[in-house]
Amino acid sequence: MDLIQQAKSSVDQAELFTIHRKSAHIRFSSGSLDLVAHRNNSACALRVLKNGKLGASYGESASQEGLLDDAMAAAAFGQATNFGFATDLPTPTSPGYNGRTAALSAEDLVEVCSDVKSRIAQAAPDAPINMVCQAESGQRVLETSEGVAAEEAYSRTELSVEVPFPSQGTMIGAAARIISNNPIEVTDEWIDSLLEMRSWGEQVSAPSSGRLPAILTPYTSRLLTLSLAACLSGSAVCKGVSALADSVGEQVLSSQLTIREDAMYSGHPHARSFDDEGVACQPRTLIERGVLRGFLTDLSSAADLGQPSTGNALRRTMFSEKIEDVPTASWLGAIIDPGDVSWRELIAGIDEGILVTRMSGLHSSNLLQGQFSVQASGFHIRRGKAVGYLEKTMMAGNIFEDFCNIGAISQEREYTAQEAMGVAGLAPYILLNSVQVTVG
Amino acid sequence: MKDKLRAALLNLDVDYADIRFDDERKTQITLSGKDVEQMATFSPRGGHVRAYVNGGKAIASFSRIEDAGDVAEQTAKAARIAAAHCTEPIKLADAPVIQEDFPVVSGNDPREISLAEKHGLLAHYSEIALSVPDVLMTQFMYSDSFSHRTFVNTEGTAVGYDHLISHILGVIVGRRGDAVRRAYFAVGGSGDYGRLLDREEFLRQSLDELDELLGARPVKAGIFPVVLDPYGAGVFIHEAFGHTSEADHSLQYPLIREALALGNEIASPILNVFDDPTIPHRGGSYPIDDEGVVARRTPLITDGRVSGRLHSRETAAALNEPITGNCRASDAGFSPLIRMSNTIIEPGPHSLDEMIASIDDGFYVAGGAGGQGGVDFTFGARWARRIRNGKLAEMVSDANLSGNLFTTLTGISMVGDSQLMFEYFDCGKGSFDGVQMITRICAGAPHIKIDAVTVGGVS
Repeated sequence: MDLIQQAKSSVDQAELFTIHRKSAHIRFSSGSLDLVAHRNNSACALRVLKNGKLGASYGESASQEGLLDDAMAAAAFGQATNFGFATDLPTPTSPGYNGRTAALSAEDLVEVCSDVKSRIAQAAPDAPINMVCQAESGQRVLETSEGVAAEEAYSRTELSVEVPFPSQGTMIGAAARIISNNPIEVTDEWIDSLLEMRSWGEQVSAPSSGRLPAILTPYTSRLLTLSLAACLSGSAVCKGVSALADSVGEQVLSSQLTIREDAMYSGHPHARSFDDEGVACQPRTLIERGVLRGFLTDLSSAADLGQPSTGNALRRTMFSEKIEDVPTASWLGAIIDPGDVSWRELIAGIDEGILVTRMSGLHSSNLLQGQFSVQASGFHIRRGKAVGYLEKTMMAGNIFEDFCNIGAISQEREYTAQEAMGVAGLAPYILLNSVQVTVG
Repeated sequence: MKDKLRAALLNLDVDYADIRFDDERKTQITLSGKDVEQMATFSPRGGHVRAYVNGGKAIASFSRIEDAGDVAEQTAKAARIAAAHCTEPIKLADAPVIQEDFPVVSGNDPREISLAEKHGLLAHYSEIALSVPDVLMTQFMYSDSFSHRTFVNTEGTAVGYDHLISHILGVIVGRRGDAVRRAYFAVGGSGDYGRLLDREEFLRQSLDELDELLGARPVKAGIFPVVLDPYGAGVFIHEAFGHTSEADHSLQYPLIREALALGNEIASPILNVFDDPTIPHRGGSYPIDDEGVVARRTPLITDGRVSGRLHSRETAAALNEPITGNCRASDAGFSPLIRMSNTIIEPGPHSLDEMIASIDDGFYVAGGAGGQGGVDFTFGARWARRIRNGKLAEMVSDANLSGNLFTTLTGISMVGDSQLMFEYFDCGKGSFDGVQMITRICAGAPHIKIDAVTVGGVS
């Protein structure tokens, strides 16, 4: 008997979430293929409400013995809930699935990377190239005792390339990434841009300490989206710890910023049509020209706020992406509207500033209040040009101050990944007019 | 299980292969305020195969033991693909064949404690925190994990070994006016449930810190001398030096390899650092690693000179250095990586009073709010206190420190005479397929004084 049917006779309600993952990864280190990896595994999460209390258990499949007993035992000490499991869901559309991507093999990925390696070698024959390429596909299946029985497939590919700076004076080189629903396609422009960035790193260049303009790349736009994820989460709002708890309708960021939540956005590599609690994803604008329009909720926080869930439950925490992570509200697709200038124009317009390509230490910041203090990696900009890479550079501030003073936003955007310290979505380059920079 | 795993490797056409199967049982209780956010048990299972053929390497993860044979075959085939495109063949250092079991021994086993008792203990600590004025929100998490792992390789090693750990981690958020600050409470870090009991005084210390922190002004940015408390020093040695000592970094980055050449003077002669998984009952203690190498103590810095680094069998072969037994995986879904165990700065000659008195304008920094490592490191302080004219002064908030490993190591001018070890420590290390978080890790240190560190801040 299937687990949900079995649970119906023992508990008030039940929810079973199962994920099957299949992936191929390859890695080139210093130009040599040093790893081929495959993953083929599954995991499931059972949540039950018994006598109004919530309990959960986890295993590798629904057929594993003891799952229901464990969940009921947990429910005996569980929290009385004010929500029930999902009752209705339109037929899932699998917006993140591409059959050609799902069919990619390790050999296909080796071919992609070998091609990239040879194209980079034409321009930089001695460059030791590091690459990781992966193709992942799978199914997310969600059933509830209340009538939801949904399954949707997904697939995505990712290519990360790093070319250490010519001096190798740092752990970091020029890096670029492609994330897509489709099989990887590498353009000449993308390669040229990576090599141009490498040429900027021929020397260290230290900016002056003080307040400077800073350009965030699509990758480092997580400074904004990760902090917003913490502040917009329905549970943080309910508990009164979010800096935005009472700010709906208020101008909280620059009027140049419009950010939509759209998990079904066409081309979004993490696209999906239902969240991890079986609630349909609902595209909507959360920051409209800098004005806060709403929050992100899951079933629990939505009930606390007296609203229906916005369909933003995600089973993950900052560093973890395991099925046992409690569903919490998060971005499923943070889509930042583009601006009208090119990212090169952003650089060209700066007399002295920094281009931030990576950050470390963001997780140590007080994100719920928008505060950040990170070590910034990237490039020093002088008189409109990148003149060297950054070392010992810290950047600190508060997003609700620094992102109120935006110079411009680029027209180019790149997809971002749902990963440790990352938010899935689509982001442009963002020029902050003035950020506190301290150089050691 | 060993027989099933041996059968999966039988007749594989490989130079070397190994297979590991994990059978884990975890309990987790999370209280958010007075509410139970999570009450759950976990039974994850799964396996991992590594195969090496003609210098090529392939790995695979799987869930069902029934699939082990097929997965091993496919992995051997994938290793041949790797060999065809591999310009630097991968080798493994020799390791003794081990045929032994390493069962866990605990006098106060958390598996024998009822869910009701665990819940009651967590609720007790949560109530203490919630009773304090200005505390806005608390989250207390209890977790325990018992993992039985079986490892078999084609060289004849066949071992069974257990890991058992329990801990409580509390995050307490306070608000006073516009200031929202956090305090932490972390206890446990071994298979001894008794370490979680009677810790009210420790919790009250954290609550007192929070009270003062709520009235503290944000830190002033700049470059200052600092005294790191044992937790801050532990985070520093873990994040900055420890991660750099993991030999995969040395292989990837020639400059690190050169800087950390054995015998190089990289710090003051008063600094001694080692990594030791054989210290009993600590978060980073274990008997054998996840490639069948028995755990051992590894000196890393002796009298200020590089005296070792942490290895897998691959990196030990590539750098022609001894194996150290530091190759570990967070769970069955992942391949083992080089990880620290219990990484420790040995006590030195200086008292804390001497350290404080030596600073005219600087900070005393209490660490433990996370960090990120490598040659360029950063970590967050729980709180910091200004030092003026050789005396401790007011507390400041939002202190994050960063620096370069090598200049910071040479800047360690004083080492304290008593040491503390973390009870809870977690660490994520990036791999090609994501971040592996482990809690079976620990750091310990005395106070240390660093002559110049970049302190990030907005003023």
